[in-house]
Amino acid sequence: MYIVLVTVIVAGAVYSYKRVDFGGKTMVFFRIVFGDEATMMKVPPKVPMQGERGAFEPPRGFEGERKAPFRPGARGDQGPPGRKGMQGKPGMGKVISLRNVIPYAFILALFILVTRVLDVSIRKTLRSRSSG
Amino acid sequence: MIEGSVTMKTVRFKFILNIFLLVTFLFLMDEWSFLGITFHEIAGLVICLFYILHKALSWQFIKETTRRLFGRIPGRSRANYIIDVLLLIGFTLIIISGMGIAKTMDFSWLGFSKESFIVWRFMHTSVSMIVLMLVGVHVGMHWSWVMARFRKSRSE
Repeated sequence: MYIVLVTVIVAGAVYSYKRVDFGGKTMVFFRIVFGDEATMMKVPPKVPMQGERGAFEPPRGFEGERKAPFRPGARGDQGPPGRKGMQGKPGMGKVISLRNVIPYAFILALFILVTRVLDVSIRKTLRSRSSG
Repeated sequence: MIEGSVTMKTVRFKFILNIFLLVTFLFLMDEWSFLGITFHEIAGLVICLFYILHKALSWQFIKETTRRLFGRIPGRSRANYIIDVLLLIGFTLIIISGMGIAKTMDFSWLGFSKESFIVWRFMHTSVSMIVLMLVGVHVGMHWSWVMARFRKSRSE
């Protein structure tokens, strides 16, 4: 039972680590504090000339989910003149979804597990040293 | 006897508060997942008040350890203390950067400039990840207490 739980936590955490780009996002803080990232980000980027412009590339970690192709009745459809298009504002009717929270739960569980293992090992070592 | 029951009530309250803090913190990790950005921003501020309450309930430990920090105290207590200080710094940074990027609340009166928006945005995401890691370490170090409380609640 214990082995199954540990395997699930480790596998889930490894998958989640990649999915949320945990390492990349964590390193940003150190780059801001110890590097010149903050100064770089404050300076407005040079706006390229019309001919130089390529396809827009969002920064790493901020790609978001790709939008579904436009279809009649979907978000943004204004409908034909005189008839109603999509009702409400984008994002309305949002349901509670915890799908995106699960990866963080796995990462948290991994850190709890690793700390617990280290804690127990250190305590055992200290106890055996003091008794021996 | 009365003192004992008061202590037990405090411990039970602390346990429920800690579970609440942990679950809310997980919900806050993705700003669009749980009831949207409005919930994220309001709950983010509320969780900080509860975090202060969480610290207030451990005030005796904080006071004692601060007094003996450079003297002879167990390494474990010292490690716990360092993690707690880092968590405090982390939560403070999350709140400040969160105010700098807030969408449903206006904190411009605090002097957050639009030029620094992207720095606050990256800082907010990045520090949240570090704090998630530290919360894991914090819970891991108090795991015996958590399990003891679970067993106690089941027997009650």
